[in-house]
Amino acid sequence: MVHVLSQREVYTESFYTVAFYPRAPKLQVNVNVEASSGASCKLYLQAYDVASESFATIWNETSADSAARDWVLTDSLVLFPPSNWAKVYVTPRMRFYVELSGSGAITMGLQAFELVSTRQVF
Amino acid sequence: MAQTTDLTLLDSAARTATTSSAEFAWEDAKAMMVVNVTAVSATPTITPSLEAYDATSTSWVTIFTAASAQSPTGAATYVYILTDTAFTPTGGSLTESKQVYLAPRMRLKITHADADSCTYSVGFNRVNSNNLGL
Repeated sequence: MVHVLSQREVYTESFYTVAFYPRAPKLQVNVNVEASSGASCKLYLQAYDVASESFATIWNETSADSAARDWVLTDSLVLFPPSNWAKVYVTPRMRFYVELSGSGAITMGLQAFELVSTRQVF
Repeated sequence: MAQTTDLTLLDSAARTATTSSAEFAWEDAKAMMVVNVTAVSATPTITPSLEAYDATSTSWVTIFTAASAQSPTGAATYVYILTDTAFTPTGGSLTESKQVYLAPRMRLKITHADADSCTYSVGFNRVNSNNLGL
């Protein structure tokens, strides 16, 4: 299943994506940066907490980047190459916070694909 | 069986002494526990732990205690991943990830080190993984 989290737009301020509801334990996230005029973005993945009725950050990129990139967020202990894999437990209700830094604007969109793996159990 | 709902173990409230939740049932082998602090008075220090029920002794046995006590100075969120695998999530946003076997009958205990007030809620939330971590 594909989740369109933010439409391709020109962004000048940090923003939250819409909430999405993945069922798979693995996600591929595509940060589709098409252009940047001095701005970079940094992703924060947030999971919903029922008690506080708010989202808590459970993973974030280590630094902002102005380039397009992909992430695989996985519950696998052993990470495959390439390098942009992170060990994360995906939850049933999530969203991203996209933090913009620098001046200028960034043209980007954000999508997440649910991934199927034969290693769902073993 | 699989857990079908997330659970509120403690509603948001100001607390000044060690507090235990009601007993709760949990069907999954993993969970994400969120301690959401919204207000403090002075310098409270709290430590979450989980207890499992032992039917033979009819008593509660501690199965997890957070590695670090927390002393929030304002609003703060503490996220704990509890998992039956050696898998340790990456990223700097988690308070702690702990390999622990969860049990069908558990309760939460928040130990207060002093009588300073701390307002918080605790949620016990599902994760999608049923992976053994391989």
